[in-house]
Formats: sequence, structure tokens, C-alpha cells
Amino acid sequence: MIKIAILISLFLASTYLGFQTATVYDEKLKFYQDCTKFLKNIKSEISFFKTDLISMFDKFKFQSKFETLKNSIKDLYIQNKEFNIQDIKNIIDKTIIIDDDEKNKLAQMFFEIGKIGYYEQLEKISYYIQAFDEIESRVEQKKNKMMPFCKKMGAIIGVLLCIILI
Amino acid sequence: MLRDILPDFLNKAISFLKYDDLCEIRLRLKKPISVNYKNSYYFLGYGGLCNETDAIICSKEMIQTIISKASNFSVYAVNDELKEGYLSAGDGIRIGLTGTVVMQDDKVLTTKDFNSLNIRIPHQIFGSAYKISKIIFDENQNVYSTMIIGAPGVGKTTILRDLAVQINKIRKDINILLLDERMEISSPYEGVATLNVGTSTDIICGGKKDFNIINGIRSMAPNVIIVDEIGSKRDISAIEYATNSGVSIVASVHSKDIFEFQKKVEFENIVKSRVFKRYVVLSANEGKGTIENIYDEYMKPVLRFI
Repeated sequence: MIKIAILISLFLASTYLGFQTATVYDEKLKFYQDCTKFLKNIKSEISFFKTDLISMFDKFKFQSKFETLKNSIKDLYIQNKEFNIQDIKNIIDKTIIIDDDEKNKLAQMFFEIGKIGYYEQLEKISYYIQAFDEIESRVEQKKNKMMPFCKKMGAIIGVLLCIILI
Repeated sequence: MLRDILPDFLNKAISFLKYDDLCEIRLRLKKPISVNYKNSYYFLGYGGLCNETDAIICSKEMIQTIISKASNFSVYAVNDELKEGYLSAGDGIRIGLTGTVVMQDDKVLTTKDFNSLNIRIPHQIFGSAYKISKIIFDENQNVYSTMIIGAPGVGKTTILRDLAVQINKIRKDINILLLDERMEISSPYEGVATLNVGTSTDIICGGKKDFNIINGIRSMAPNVIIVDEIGSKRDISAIEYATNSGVSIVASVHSKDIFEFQKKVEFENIVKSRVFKRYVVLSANEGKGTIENIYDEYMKPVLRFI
């Protein structure tokens, strides 16, 4: 009886792990979707109202981990201390696991924002919208491929473990 | 606040100086930083004033940090100011800047690659316009249209600021409209003046002087308009419109002395038509705000002053 209970628990744990791994891809996709949304929003805010950066950080809210990242970077600005791109990278590391290339681009984006003139800024934002759009579609493809795979793998490993232990 | 816009080490260097005596901080790319302290120029080192060899050398990062902080981390939002070569940093601090001017079809788009900054720190000196206030009222206690003439840095803005206070002290029923295009007279923060500009003073911040003069007359019905640094033909047309509407103008203009002022083509007509009844010439000979002379509308020295 105990053995059956252990086997069922093992199966459930393995399946759960599979589902959890799958949600990482979903989270990452939502993160980039929010990032692009944020960039599009600030582009129109800058074009029409020239709203200052801190107000824009407050104005737009998101459901993904991008919200945590955005708020942590806002705190950097509010503290009014000098910071460099590495400080932003450290914040990204604490918030989400992404590739180095993506991390560099994201850090560069946050570092450059607000530091250049109006026309240059709009051009830069357009560039980043395009760049993060590409990353987003890449992440979406990966998610579509990996999510069902992870879920299935979780269940299969669970079954295999049960068979081995029987 | 000045310390909010400066890098930490510069704040530390400035902390060795008396804030009230600090008028300017000049940063030139790859050159020693200098300050205008007690009306003289000195080099600035990590421990305060120093000689040239010990001075802090200005880097590109320093300039960028100051511009970024002064614009509240939103350089794009201050593009209109950058086009004009300055940046208002709150508390009346104005940063003059030079760099590469980007043009398109004869229009200035922006300024970039900044290479020099002149951080000007305003100081309110109560009573600095006391003497002037005594000779700008006519026998009916109305304010004469007055032109404050002086080279850059002689204290024209400080005098204008105090004139608003002095006029209000003498006649409380006079409505003053202060046109603070570059936000250095009243130093507004969230729309509220942080420096004293009198109790009956309405303030228009930003915008163009000519537009603000005409609209200000229509909307606020002032008795006196105070405006800094006039110079363009449009400004002068607007001033003529104001004086023809019965509004007195107290304005300032860049000129070394009355003779140099008289040579300015733009002002030829208003001098001839005697729009201004008083011309006050300032210098820094005996400290900023030294009154060199006061002239009437016929360009004759005012006897009461002499």
C-alpha cells in the first residue's frame, strides 16, 4: 500500500516538474511580450507628450516578471546614484534567467533610455522594438516546441520511474 | 538642488566652498573644471579650490551624467531647451551647453555630443533692486517701462527678480506678470515659484516671450510685465504692443553699456519712440549688480540717481 502511494507520489512529482519547466518558457514569452509592449507605449508617450522616464515607469503596469525588473530599475534612477550597465545586468540576473545576448540587449536598452536626445531616442526605441519583436517570436517558437515536450517528459519520466521501482 | 545634478565627487569638491559665493561651475571636455567663486574664476580640485595642475579634468561621462540628472533622466523631454543651448535644472539653476548642433532644412533639430557646460547658480539678493525701485515710479506711482542693460553675468536676472519684490512692496495693488521663459527668475518647481518674486506676481514659465506678452495681457490684465533677455524683433514688436496697451515693461538686455545698446539695430525704433522711460546700466565693477548709470527716455542721466 505504501509502495503504491510512493509510486503515485513519484509520478505526480515528476509530472509537476515537467509542467513547472514548461511554464518557464511561458513566463519568458510573457516577459518579452511585456517588454515590447512597454517599448511601444513609451515610444508614443515620448512622441506626443515627452513624458519623463520615471513617470513612464509608474504609468505602465505589467503582469509578468518584466514588472519586477522595471520597478527595480526605476529604484536605481530614484536613488539618483551613478550606476553602470553591470548594475542593470545584476538586476536582470536576479529577476529572470535569459541568454547572455538577450541580457546584454535588455541591459543596453534600459541603460540608454533617457540619455539621448528626442530624435535619437525615438530611433533607438524603434530599433529595440524590432530587436525584441524578433526575440519574442524566437521565444514563442521555442515555447511551442518545448512546452508540450516538457509536459510529456515529466509524465513519461514519472511512468518510467514507477516501472523501474515496481 | 545643485547636489542632485552633480556627480558624487563633484559634490564633494563643491562642499569645500560656500554655496552662497558660488556663481558658476564650468566644465569643458578634457579640460580642468573651473568655478566662479566670489566673482573670480578658480580651478576646482577634489579638495576645493586649487591650481590648474590639481584640478579635476572633465570627462564625457561627467557631462552626460549632469545632463541626464538635470533632465530627470529624460534628455529627450528637454529637446526644446537643448535646441536653444540651455537646460533648466530646477531651483533656478540653468545649464548653458555647447555641442554639435543638428540641423535639418535650416531648422535646429537638437544639440548632441556636448562638450562644455556652464552651470549657473542663482542667488536671491533681497534689496539688490532697492535703488532702482526708487527711480522707476512716476509722480502717480505708476511704474515706468524700464530696460536693465548689462553684459552677461552682471546680475540682471537677480535685479529683475528683486524688482518684482520691490515693486510689490511699494504698491501692493500693482499686478505683475513675470515671463520666466528659462525658469531662472522664479525657479519654479511643479509650477510653484521657489524664489520670492513678490506677492502680486503671476508667472508664465517656458514658452516664447512675444507670444506670452500678448496672451498674458489678454488673460491676466497685468500693470507691469517683467521679462528677461529680450532681443528678437518679435520680442520688440510684442513690447510695443504691450506699452500701447498701457502695460509697463521691465526688461533686460545683453549689452556692455548704453552706447553698445544704442548701436543695436533691433532697438532703434523703441529708443526713438521712447517706449522705455528708464535705462539702467549694470556692471560687476564693484560686485555684481553695480549700477553704473541710469538714463531717462532721452538717454540723459537721471539726476535723482546721480
